[in-house]
Amino acid sequence: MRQYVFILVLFLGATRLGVPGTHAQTPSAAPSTLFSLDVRGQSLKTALASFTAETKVGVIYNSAMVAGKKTACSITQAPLDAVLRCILEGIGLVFEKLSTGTYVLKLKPPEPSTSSSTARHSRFTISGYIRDAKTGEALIGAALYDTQRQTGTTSNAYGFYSLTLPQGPVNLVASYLGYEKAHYERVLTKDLTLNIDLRPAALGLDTLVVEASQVDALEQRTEMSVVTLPVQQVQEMPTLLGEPDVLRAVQLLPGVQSGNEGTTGLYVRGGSVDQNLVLLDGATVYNPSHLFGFLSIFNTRALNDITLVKGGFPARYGGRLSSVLDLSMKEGNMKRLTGEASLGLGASSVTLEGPLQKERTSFIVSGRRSLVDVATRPFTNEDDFPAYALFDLNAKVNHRFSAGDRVYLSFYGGNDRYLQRNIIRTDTANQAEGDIQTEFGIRWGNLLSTLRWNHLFSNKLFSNLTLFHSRYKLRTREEDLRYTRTEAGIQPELFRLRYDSGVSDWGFKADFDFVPSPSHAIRFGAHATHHTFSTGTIQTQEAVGEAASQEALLAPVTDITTQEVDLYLEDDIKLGRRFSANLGLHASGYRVEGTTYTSLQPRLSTRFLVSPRWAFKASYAHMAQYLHLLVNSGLGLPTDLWLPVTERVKPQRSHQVAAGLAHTIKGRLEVSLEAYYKTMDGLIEYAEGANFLGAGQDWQDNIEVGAGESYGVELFVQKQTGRTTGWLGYTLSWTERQFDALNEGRPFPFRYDRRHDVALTLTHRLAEWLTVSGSWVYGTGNAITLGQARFSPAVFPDASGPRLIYAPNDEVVHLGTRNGFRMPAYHRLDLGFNFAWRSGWGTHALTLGAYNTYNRKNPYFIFSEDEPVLDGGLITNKATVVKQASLFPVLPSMSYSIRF
Amino acid sequence: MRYMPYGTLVALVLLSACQEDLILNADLPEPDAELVVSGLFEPDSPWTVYVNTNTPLVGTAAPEAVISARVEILEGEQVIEALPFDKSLFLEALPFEGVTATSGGTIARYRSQAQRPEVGKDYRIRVSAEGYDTVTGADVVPRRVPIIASTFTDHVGTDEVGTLAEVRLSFDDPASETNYYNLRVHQRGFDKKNERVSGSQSWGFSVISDLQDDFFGADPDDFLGDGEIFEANEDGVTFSDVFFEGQQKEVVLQVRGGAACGSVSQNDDSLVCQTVVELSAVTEAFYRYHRTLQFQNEASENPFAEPVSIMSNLNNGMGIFAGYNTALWIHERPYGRIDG
Repeated sequence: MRQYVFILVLFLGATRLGVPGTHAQTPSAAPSTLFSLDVRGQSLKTALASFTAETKVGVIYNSAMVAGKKTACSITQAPLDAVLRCILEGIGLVFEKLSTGTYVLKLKPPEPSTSSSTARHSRFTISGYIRDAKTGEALIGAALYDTQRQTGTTSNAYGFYSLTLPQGPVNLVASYLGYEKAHYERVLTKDLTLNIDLRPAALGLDTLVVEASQVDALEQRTEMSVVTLPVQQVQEMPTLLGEPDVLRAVQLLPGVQSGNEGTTGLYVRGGSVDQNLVLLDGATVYNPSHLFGFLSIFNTRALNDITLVKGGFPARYGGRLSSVLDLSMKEGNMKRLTGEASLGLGASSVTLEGPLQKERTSFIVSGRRSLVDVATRPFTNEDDFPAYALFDLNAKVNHRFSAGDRVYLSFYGGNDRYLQRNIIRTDTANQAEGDIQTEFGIRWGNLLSTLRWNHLFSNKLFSNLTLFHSRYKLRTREEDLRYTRTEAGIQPELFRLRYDSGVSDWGFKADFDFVPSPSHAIRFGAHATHHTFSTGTIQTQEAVGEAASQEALLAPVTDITTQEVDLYLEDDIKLGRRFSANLGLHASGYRVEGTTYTSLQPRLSTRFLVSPRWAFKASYAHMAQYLHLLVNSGLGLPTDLWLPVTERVKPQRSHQVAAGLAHTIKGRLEVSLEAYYKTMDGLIEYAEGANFLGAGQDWQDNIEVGAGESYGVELFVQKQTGRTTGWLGYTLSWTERQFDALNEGRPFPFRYDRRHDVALTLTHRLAEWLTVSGSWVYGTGNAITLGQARFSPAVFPDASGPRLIYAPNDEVVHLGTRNGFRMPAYHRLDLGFNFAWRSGWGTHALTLGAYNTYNRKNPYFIFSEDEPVLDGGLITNKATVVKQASLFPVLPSMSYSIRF
Repeated sequence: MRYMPYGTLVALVLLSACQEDLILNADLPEPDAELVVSGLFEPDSPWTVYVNTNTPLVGTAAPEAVISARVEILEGEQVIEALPFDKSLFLEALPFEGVTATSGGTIARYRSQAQRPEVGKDYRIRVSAEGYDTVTGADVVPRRVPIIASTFTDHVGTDEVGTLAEVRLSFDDPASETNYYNLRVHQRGFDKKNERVSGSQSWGFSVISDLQDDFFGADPDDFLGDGEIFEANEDGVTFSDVFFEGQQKEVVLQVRGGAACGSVSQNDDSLVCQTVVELSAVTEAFYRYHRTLQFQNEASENPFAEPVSIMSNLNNGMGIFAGYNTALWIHERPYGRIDG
């Protein structure tokens, strides 16, 4: 703390002199005066202070230049210049005398080389990794900036960076939001490997915490429509059921709609839920939901980075129209063994991470499980119960074979299980007539694994090779066993039903980062994926007698295999100080049952610095998607079915343009204003009247194909550092769909078309032991289809008299425009209080929260119902009313964790 | 049974919808008042058209009969008959069986005095009434598709009610055109005087799929694996020939035992039980109307399902104007042979 105050005082002093970032003292000595000074063994900073005290002459210097340096100077009766030269002897610094008499310290220029080979190499490359000093975790997107030449770079997804600069002195500043800056001075005479460890900044130091640098500030980045969420911020946000949730946090970002109450579905810039590419360590996640959509599968304790891309897609991404949610798991603490255990209503977890071999091999394991079934088991009747449990496990191990080779093995496995059993026994000892045993079970889960190998071909060429497997599987099982009396005695009769579906990927990725100069950051690569779709088939078995006790081999589920290949090339180009562009091309091919689809997708993002802190950005992206998700209810249930494109059902395609302004206020508050316009085609919807219920033999007959359009404006104000963090997001948008076979071919609003969508989320550290967080959301109501009128069904003129075709209450409902009715607006306030304290065991945290704090009755679904009309206690008529059902009232939550 | 997994999932979510319901009536748009016309016609039967009005979704109002409408049947631009309001039926027949004044509203019948629809002809309808837009529509009488073979086998199995009988019938689907059908089965009892036994009529039957592929049409909820059963109500099943276009089609039906001839518990050899199979060739308009109505019924049970619009081939109004042509097959057997 004192150190910061000292630096701040010096900084303010330097600012007064008009030399930002330097230190100065006022000159006063006459040039002919002689001085004596003995500062042997002292730090350079102290020595300079002694010099100024002795001579009354000021010295201006950058604190980074003197940090960690000592002098061996001892001089008597010497003039000013000689004393200063003595102090700087052998340190690599020289001075210049200003007209005011003040000295300015500078890096010593390199000696002219006589070597012809060195002369040819006038540019050298500094490369290495930027990591967290405490844990060794890679810092993704950390900035490295040369203040001399005012150019820089950022680290990639593995913390690797490469910066090529001209020969000579460099003054490097490494920075990352929430971390202390690190300064490095070097004289470049050859290629240099510089691994940088950044120390996390002390919390709460609002005025001194490192700001966004000249490289990673919002307005400096070429990319647009990209948001990175700090994992810690997500962990401190209010929760549902006490469990931090990445997807729930992402839903609060502008341009992202949240679907139905409580669920974790994402609808990005008018896209459907299937148009999001969700990646965990490079493997595709097909169903990111636990608990029937109320909780995401991502365990924040095991995450390192959360990035959402909703437009201006770099060429390295492909396969989905609307967004990429790229999540990276932690690598595991390289320095020491740490852990965390937590207990919560939604789930409880245990996490361990640490080195297996210090600085070379580390691991992380994090497991979660819900405990509701365990807690209620003592009170459960074994013959009649529902039970639910969720599990997941994240594990990762990485090993550094050499400075240029590192291998990562990541694993995620998760499962949800629901079982409902009902047993009726008429005789407790024996099976008797009338005994019934029914069971219904549903189980779904993801299994992801990736093996990655980072290899440095040179200090400019970084490669990552990935082998990955992803599997999502759903199994529904129902058994109905009844004992009936037959001529052969009491016989079991079995009905068994099974519904299986899923998708499985095996794939390979080769990604390369090539940084030939600070003006070019080239990425290229190839991805190949083999998909296997189990398209959902209901299988039944009926058996009587002995056969009922054996599970017959049900017909195997029919699989569809497809192959997808992607190639990409992108270059992040800097043209002068003001203009930069990310230019790329993504090519993809998809083969399914003899049909091949191809697509060339140009991508472009540009940035123009209007002023040092204001940037204008624009982007264009063409995307193609070869998968569809048949959604059966809009609830995000696990029964939603992934299907590939076919010869009849073509790929989805989109074009998106966006433009906007980016600005950072006082280095801490990032503001972006973006407008976008997106068109989509190849979208599918169920044909009117068709729905899930078994997904018949040919789903293609039950869908309609159409197009979509979305446009809007998004405002995003984010603060990631300091005592108070959070963001304000506002979206004004319009989203429509048009299907020839729906709504008489006229465009209609998308279900999640929200004219206004506001999210304000704040976390404030009141004290070291108390953090308060709150989120408030407001959204225009969902667009739904609602009846407008009732009328009689048709009448058969039967010979025996008129007969109405069946309809409940002999009434048919006439619908208005598809999605022509707006549900009431949605708004909700969530609050959370995080208490932290230390003990000999570690750091404890108790989180108390409330979801929907002011108990807003938000609409979940709308339905019509007949109610009796009473007159004098007698029912004289019926009245049809339209009602709104709500899901969650105020829901308190509590969780406890300990870190050790 | 096959719907249970999905239903259970939805129920799981709905069970948690524990908050009090709010009534939203005030926010709903007021619909335009329109005529509702029902004009189903078959050859050699009088033109019969029913007319009433729509009502707002919410409230207590019920559809009201329109007795002052002008109902015209046209061939081309030529009015072939203006159907008079059939006052006697209106007065005498209401409420219909199973329809009360509060649930079904009232409806007026207009009936031909002279004309009969003829196969293959295109007809139009025009219905006008004061205060409403004039409703128009057009359709045709399809050709009848004869039942070319049929068998009745009693006691093929049992269910929880009693014995089952099996009916097999075959027909030739006309080639090179899309055909639509409605299949209905009912049973009824007659006494020695050939008069209906009161209360003997029973509706409902099962269709056993005999194909790996579904023959009903393109709807997953109607998909039947080999040997699976579709249970039909008194409106029967409506399907297209998409899976047997131009081929001979055999349909296997199960008639539920026990109450095969209705709820009459007589066991008298003097009574006759008729099993009546009606195979109607219907037009696309009829098919789409009936299918969407069935879909709407199903979707109404799931608040998350996309509501279904009822298809109409009428302009400026609601309802249907559609032709059909029925082939009958009747099997008779003594009452005494039926269990129950």
